[in-house]
Amino acid sequence: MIWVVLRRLVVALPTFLGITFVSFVGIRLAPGDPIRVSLDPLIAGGPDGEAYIALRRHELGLDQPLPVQYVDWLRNVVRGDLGYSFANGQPVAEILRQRLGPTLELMATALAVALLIGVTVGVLAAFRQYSVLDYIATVTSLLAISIPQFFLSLVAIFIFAVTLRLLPVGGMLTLGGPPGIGDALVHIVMPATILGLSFAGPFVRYTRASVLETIHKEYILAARAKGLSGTRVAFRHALPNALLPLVALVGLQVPYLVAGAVVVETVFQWPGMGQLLLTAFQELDYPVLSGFVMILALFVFTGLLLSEMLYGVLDPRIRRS
Amino acid sequence: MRPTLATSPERHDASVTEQSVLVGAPGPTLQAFRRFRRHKPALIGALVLLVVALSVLIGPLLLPYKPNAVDLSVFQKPPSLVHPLGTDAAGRDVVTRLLVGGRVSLTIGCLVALLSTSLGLLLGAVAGYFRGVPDFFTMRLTEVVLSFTGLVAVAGAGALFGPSTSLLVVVLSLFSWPTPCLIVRAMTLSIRNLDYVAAARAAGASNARIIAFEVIPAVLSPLTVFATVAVAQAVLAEAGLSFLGFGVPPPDPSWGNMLNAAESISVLSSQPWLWLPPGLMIAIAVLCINLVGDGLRDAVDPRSAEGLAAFR
Repeated sequence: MIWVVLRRLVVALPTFLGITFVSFVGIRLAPGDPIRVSLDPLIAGGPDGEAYIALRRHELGLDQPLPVQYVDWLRNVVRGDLGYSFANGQPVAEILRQRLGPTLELMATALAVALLIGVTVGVLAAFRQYSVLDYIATVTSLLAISIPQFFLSLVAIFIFAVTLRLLPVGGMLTLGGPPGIGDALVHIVMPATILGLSFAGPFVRYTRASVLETIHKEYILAARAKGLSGTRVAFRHALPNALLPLVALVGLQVPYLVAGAVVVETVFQWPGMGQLLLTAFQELDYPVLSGFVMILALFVFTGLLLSEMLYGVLDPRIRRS
Repeated sequence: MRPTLATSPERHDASVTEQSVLVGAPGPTLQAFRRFRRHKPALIGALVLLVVALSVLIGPLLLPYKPNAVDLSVFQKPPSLVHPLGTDAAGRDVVTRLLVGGRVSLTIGCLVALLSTSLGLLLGAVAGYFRGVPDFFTMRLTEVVLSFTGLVAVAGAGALFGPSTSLLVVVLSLFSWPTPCLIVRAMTLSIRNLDYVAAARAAGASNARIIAFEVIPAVLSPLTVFATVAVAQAVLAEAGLSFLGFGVPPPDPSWGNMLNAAESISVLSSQPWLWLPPGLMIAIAVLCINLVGDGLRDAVDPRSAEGLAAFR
């Protein structure tokens, strides 16, 4: 097992370096000047403006050739130093650490919602194929895939926050209000449910198809024929095999989960990575952007690795080969 | 491998149908068409799409307003007989913008699907056919691209290079080719060992010729299913990016950037005619495209694992 993980890491390393290099150079090749963007136009246009910009550029190392800048950055990253934000001088690692928590909280809750709804509905729909429930599940899951997350968010805000005044419009906690688990729950309900629903759609479709395929296999018929009850066959024989591939597919969803989080965070003003990304793009905050891409790539690789390992643990056929 | 794949390249349509008529059974393409026709939801989806496409194409010609014409005398008016869906903050007619925006959104969707599928088809066929070094590098490239999500990458490109519609199409395409590439590669890996490819090689066909005339036709019909779903994905991506302000730049309308107005809480709460229609149009269009995709999947391969394809 350890060797499998190690081999995966060795293979992943060049890809990981490739991702950081492409994004590092790509971001810096774009037009626009990170110093001018956040500089007071009075200073930039003043008598010493150009000299000041050149000085700042030298301070930040932006006058070096791009490969040199990349190697410098990489060397610092290995030491655990992600650099300092151009916009406010804070350490990038600190900024990312602050933002990671809320995003992980949102993504984990959404994934839990998606799996809970997706697997339950998918299994029920498959066992009652062509029933009213199956019909509703099929249509709803297609709807969940087809409605844009931000539109669903807007409708939900319109109904639950603006019209019914049941839930807050956005944010993670009430500012100045009494802190507590209740307040946090009230704030996370809408964003997590909406993000979760858009992933429940594919999960329902996949689970239903996989269970349907499994329960028509011969070993299921054999289990029934030797006199086992329907429930026992369903839970002991059919479901473990039918749901196994889902483990691998959850890992593949990580990039989409991050993309979804960016959108949903924007609509609900959730103080996470998504909002950070958008402001960093606008301010051309190179160090924050490079740090962000690195974290994103780490997410994706960890997701894939975890699901692959879990698959190996759960499926003895793979473990042996 | 599915036998229909190897024996039913599209270019043999006519001859296959002729032969089949002699034997008395319909050809695979005709069979697929019949299966599609029996798929009620897909048929409804296709009809609704046709209506949407026609109204988006013809509608703006029949309306008296220009999509970007500012008329400050009627700004933020609720729906009325003169403006059936009201006007926005600049007094522009929402119906006109909705229809013209539909043109933009659907064109982007189709272009991105076409470009990314073609790119994926080419790279996948080459990687799967030659294997070895080209395959290795294509696969590593696929991993790199898959690690970015199209949305985040395009948001970046939009923010860094300034939003533009053509950039949006190019970048979205550059980030959506891996899926068709992986599909085509997998199919090519098995097709290249089939007898008819060996026959072509024995007849002296060059590698380029075998890829173009033997491999690509054989993977085309399953790929149409992917291309259809890709249109839906691209429409959704365009909407999301334009909503965030990184997609189609104003003043040109698109379904996504019309929804951008709803980021203001006053528009959201008191002017629903500005954001409900474009959102509903996106949902309807994407739903119908997905329905057609489902129908095509069942039609092209009746035994397909629909679950796998549900996963983007």
